[in-house]
Amino acid sequence: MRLKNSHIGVLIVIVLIGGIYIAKGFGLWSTESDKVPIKITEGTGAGTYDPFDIRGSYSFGEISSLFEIDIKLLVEAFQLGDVEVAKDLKSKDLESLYGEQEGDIEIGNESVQVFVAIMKELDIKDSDAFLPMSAVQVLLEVDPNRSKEVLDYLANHQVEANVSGAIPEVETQPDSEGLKVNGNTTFSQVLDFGISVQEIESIIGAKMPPENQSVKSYCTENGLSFSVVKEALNTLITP
Amino acid sequence: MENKARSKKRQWRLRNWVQLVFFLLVSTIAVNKFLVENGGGSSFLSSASLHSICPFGGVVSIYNLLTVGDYIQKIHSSALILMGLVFLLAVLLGPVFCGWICPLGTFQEWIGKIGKRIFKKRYNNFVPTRLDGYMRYIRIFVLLWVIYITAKTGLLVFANVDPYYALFNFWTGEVAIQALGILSLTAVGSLFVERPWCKYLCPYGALLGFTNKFKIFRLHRNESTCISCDLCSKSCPMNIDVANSKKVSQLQCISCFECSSENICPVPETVEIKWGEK
Repeated sequence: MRLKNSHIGVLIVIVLIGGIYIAKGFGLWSTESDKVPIKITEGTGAGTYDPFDIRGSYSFGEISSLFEIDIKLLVEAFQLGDVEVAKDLKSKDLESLYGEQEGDIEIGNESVQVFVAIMKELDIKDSDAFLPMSAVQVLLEVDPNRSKEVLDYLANHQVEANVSGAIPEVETQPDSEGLKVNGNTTFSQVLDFGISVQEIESIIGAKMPPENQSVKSYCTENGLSFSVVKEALNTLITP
Repeated sequence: MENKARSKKRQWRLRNWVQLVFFLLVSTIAVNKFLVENGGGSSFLSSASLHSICPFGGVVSIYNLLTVGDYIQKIHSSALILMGLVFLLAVLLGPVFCGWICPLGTFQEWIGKIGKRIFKKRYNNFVPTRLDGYMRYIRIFVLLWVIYITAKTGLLVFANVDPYYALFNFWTGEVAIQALGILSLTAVGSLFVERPWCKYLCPYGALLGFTNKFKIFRLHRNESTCISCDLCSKSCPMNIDVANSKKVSQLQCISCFECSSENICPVPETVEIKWGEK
């Protein structure tokens, strides 16, 4: 059997275009990180997106769209100012927006997770995240008849916190994040940041994982709170 | 006979059109990504990152996927799928990705056309044969180094020296200075040597080159009709001695098929792409 140039050209097109088309058909083709949370498999809310899988890289626009929560409510709850700006603001940006609160309380991605969970009347699990007063007010305005469990949680996890930085400026300061652990950081990078194996092992309470694994994926696999581990590591980087 | 060969030489072959299409496609995606990130661009065009549409990203991700179940940073399923499709093509035809698709290979060929005009017959013959032979092993070491260092760190370390990434991102300010340096050296080198990056340094070419040993369709030279004009060897961008090979299965072949009777060989049915003949 002989092949000509034209056959080769056709073969290339068929294999590449056809292969990509089939992969897309099966939902396998992705050119960016999947910004789709896992779904709850059992109990209350089974089949819906799990708010506790909201990652720090999700923008408020994406959270609004995925969980069908009016963006204006998110803006009001977390004092984000302009809706257009807030759409592109990431959940993890709350940490720098709010800064440090008294008693080492942090308003960040976990606060967003809890807020969304309560908004969607889902289990808040064993979360210990705090919410700003503005978020608590929004939750109670949307539904004044929350369960006793939720009301108790809100009573014990609210903080009078205000946005301390100018919102648009947050996005123009990526350099300050240069040496910080985030959702993509691998243990190899943590070592490069100057943290020793012993320090890592002491923070995660286990033997050093493979260096090529990301900290976040390790935490997810081993039931650790990524925020807690991340904070502990970041404290060592910038004491 | 020679006149016929010359007339063949001047044609723009199907391969050149395919190369142009892929070069424009990748350029468009890279520019659109930059524009989208800066508030412009078109939503009708893909704005995928170059890493996500480079099949070599799939290769360096395999270890991470097997050991920790994650892609390495910046790599997504698209790269793994493209890796599989390119490997399928390579099993059928050898490294056609190198000869027909890779935009960096195309870029080198285009610069090489200038070199051919300047140096005529001396072009692609500057490196002494013995030294050239040794240097061709370097890309295998580059391949092993890239796989090792990526597996160890879980990071796309190769991006820092990758001339392909530099070629389509040099205007973004995101390209490491080493990568820009290697791209510049590749461009200058292409004026003297055809496809210098592919010959001596490309790790993906090194990997795909192994498929030349077991590809299904391969080039065969019919010794009974061959007139020993050497045009096949002279036309080979990778300096393979086709004129003295019964079949082409050298690791360096990029399956461009320039040497075939359909392209440069002046005698019909003498250098052909066939299946099933020993």
